[in-house]
Amino acid sequence: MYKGIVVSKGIAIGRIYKYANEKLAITTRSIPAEKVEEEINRLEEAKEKANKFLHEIKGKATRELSSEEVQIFDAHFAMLNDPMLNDEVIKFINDEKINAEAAVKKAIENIIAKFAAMDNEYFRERVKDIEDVGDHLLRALTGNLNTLLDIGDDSIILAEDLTPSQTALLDKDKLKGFILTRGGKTSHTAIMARNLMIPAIVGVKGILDEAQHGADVILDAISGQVIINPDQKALAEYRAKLAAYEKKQRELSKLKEKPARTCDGFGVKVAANISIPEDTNRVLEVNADGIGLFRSEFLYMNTGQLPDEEKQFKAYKEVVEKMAGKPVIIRTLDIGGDKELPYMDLPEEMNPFLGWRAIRISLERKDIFKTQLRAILRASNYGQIKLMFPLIASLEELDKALEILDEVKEELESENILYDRKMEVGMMIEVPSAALMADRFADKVDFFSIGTNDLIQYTVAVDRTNEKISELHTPYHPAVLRLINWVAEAAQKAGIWVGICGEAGGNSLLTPIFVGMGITELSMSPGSILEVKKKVRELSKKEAEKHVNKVLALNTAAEVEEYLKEVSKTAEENY
Amino acid sequence: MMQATVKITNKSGLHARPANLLVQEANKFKSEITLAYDGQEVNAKSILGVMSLGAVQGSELTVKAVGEDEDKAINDLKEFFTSGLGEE
Repeated sequence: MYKGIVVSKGIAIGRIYKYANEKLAITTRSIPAEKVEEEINRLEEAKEKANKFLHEIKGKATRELSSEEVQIFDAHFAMLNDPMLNDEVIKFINDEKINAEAAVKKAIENIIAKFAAMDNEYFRERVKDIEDVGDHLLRALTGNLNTLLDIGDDSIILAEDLTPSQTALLDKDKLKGFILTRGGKTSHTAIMARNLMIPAIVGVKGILDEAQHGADVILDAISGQVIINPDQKALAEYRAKLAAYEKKQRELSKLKEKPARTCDGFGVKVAANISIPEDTNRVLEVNADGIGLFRSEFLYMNTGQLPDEEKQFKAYKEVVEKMAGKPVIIRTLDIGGDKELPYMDLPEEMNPFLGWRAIRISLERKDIFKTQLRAILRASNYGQIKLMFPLIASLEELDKALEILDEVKEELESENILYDRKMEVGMMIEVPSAALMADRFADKVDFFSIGTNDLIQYTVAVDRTNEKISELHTPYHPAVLRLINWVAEAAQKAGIWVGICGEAGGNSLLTPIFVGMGITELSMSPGSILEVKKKVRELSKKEAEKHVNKVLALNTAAEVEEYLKEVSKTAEENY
Repeated sequence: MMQATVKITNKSGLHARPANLLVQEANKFKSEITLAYDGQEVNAKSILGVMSLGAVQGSELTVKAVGEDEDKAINDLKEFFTSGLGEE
């Protein structure tokens, strides 16, 4: 049995699909002269397999990427079937009497050496493409072309972690869960798992070496454990657990059409966080009250270049039209920190989370910022869009961002392009300096959205990507709750609304506290929406306010957590 | 044998995409076609070869064709280079 950290709740019973990112070890074998032809045949077969593989990736990519990005696959095809590469590999097999793998490796290395020596950076960077193609060919030759494309029914992916483009390849109907040895709660794969509402656990040690591809597995992403090759008893136990869990989910789904309102009439909007337009489908499935956070940076991350205005406009418009009148809050570009954009060549920093990221990049790269603002404003004409700026730490930054927004609006006016003139503009509260100045900020914006992941990181001084100190990254820290309470009070005094869009928003233990503080929007991954809604409906605002007072008087995160668990238990019994 | 001097007019030179289009164009002919630039000569039907020239905008290359359709090959390829290798 292996243990890990639950990042997306659920239970799955299925089979391991092992995806190893590590480089293949290629050994050179001498072959007798009469086997030369056999090796050349093996090469041909591998090429055919790799072609088929590329064909499938291209098919998937065509649906998810732009036509320009898809054309790079055509270049990969041409490289794979390149006559120069082919001749060179065959020459190595013939002349040196070595196995096909070794010959491919040598030929690829020779070609790469030529490119790596070039002056022009673009050509040097093509080394990655050639390596990629070589890797496909070697994997095909050694029977390791586990490509994430051919997953069978009930597949549970076992990997270190996956990149966004790798997860894009997965067949979502067959995918049943993720077991990852790396990654954290806010890693891309974790976010995707929650959006898909499938179980995932991360930080599972030792499993990658020991578990076999295709082995039966139970993934318990409630208690955080994995059982490989379970016996009949464990299987029976988990089938029952799974049935009970599904029953609970069905009960929850009855709440879909009901409002999130306390028994004494305090209404909360229960909204969803999304990363790509496709995620909107899950949002509609659970009938969320809106989208509280559209992480626009994923439009920038899943591609090889900055997305232009048209591409962004289309994405925003698609989402807001699908939401049919419900609000969609778009957060402007939030890169840097743990999110990289290879094509932007962000400098390496000692403390990336304290460095050049989010709004700081936007204010300096006005060209990129204005393109995004134009796209958002244009899309605002098609539904209810709200805009918010990430990582604001000082009033000057907000002023500057608002100034640029006005500039863009003027440009649109002069071009006679329509946009929603009443579009609400808000800011995220993620930095303690912004939280402490909330009363001043409140005069300048229409709303606050509290990003708890970063607020905790900056308040408690704990790198949220550092697994070693992950226990310190807790929303129960009284200092964090005091800051949130202070922000909520400042907002109410100024007459603006405040929401929560970090992980804590979907943590149902904290729902009474947030309701008690008068927070009117909770945004979370779609999978948590119904549970939080249930929680809100069980509460009274009056009782919740009492809980806030109690909690704010406590000393430690452990005390807060314990108190909230007690509250939850009592509520459950009384309901 | 037929040969011609051509100039790269498109912005990004013989990058992956234009190189690929050029290879597709060359593959339409039975003739053996080569590209020479900066002391190297490569098979114009090989994307890796074409790209390994590292030719950028403004570079002058020699195209050679040997075979039954060498006339048409040189004419069409010259045209293709002038039109900017499928790029604007």
